[in-house]
Amino acid sequence: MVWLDTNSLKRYNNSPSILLFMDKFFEIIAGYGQFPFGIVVGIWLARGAYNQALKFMGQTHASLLEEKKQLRETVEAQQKRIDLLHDEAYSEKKRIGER
Amino acid sequence: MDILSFTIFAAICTAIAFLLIQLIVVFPAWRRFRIQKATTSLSKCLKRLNSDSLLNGKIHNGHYLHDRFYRLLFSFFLNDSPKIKSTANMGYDRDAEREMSQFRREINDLDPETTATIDEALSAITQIVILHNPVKFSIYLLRSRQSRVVRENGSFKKRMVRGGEYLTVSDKITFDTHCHA
Repeated sequence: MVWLDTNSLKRYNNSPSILLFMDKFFEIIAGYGQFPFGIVVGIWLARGAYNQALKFMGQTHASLLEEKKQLRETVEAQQKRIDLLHDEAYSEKKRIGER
Repeated sequence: MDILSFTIFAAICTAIAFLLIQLIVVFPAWRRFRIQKATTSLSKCLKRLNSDSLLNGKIHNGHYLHDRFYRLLFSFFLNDSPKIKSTANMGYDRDAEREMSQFRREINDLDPETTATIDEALSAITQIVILHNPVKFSIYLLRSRQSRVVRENGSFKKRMVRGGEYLTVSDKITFDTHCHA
């Protein structure tokens, strides 16, 4: 591999600094292993995954608000039931009292 | 290292990274979302029952529907702990089978709308319990005789409803209801 050759620095001794920089750059990249640009792929995958997770979190929040609404309506319906039962019990009591 | 081996290496690395990220990031969020969706479905059923059949007196005291099912439904909203545990095994249980058939008869005696509501709630209960104990319950559902009986002439949804019936009559879900509020 060209960029692993340390003698290449000597070759570019009198060349512009951009080539020296490129050489150093490829040397550093090669130090990361056999698949160095896996970092970029990993970042891309993580970005997609976090977007998906955030979407799920948004849907969860919307669902939670819906649940809250439904539970409030449940309390309302239960209050109606309580009122009905109370009316029945009260009328029964009144009837017994009249006797 | 030639181009072919490099491609294979890169593909394997990418696949492993994808799986790990899905497992660590996406799956928990998906699981939370599904649990919340099932809980919302339960709350809808609770509301419908309260404004319909409990108000009209179709469901009354002393039945499975009132004494076990409705209380179980309520417990899901009184639960303090973030985890719902269960000691149920989905294997064949003769007593539970008998009670389940009685429970099913009670449900079928009601009008079709209420029956559909209760089936939805039962399915949601099973979903919540399975999502809280994913490994254990998937194994139980796979190897249970009850599910095999249903699998012969029933869909996944029917199996879920049946699981909910079992969880209702066997009373094996433990809630953490201290109500510190």
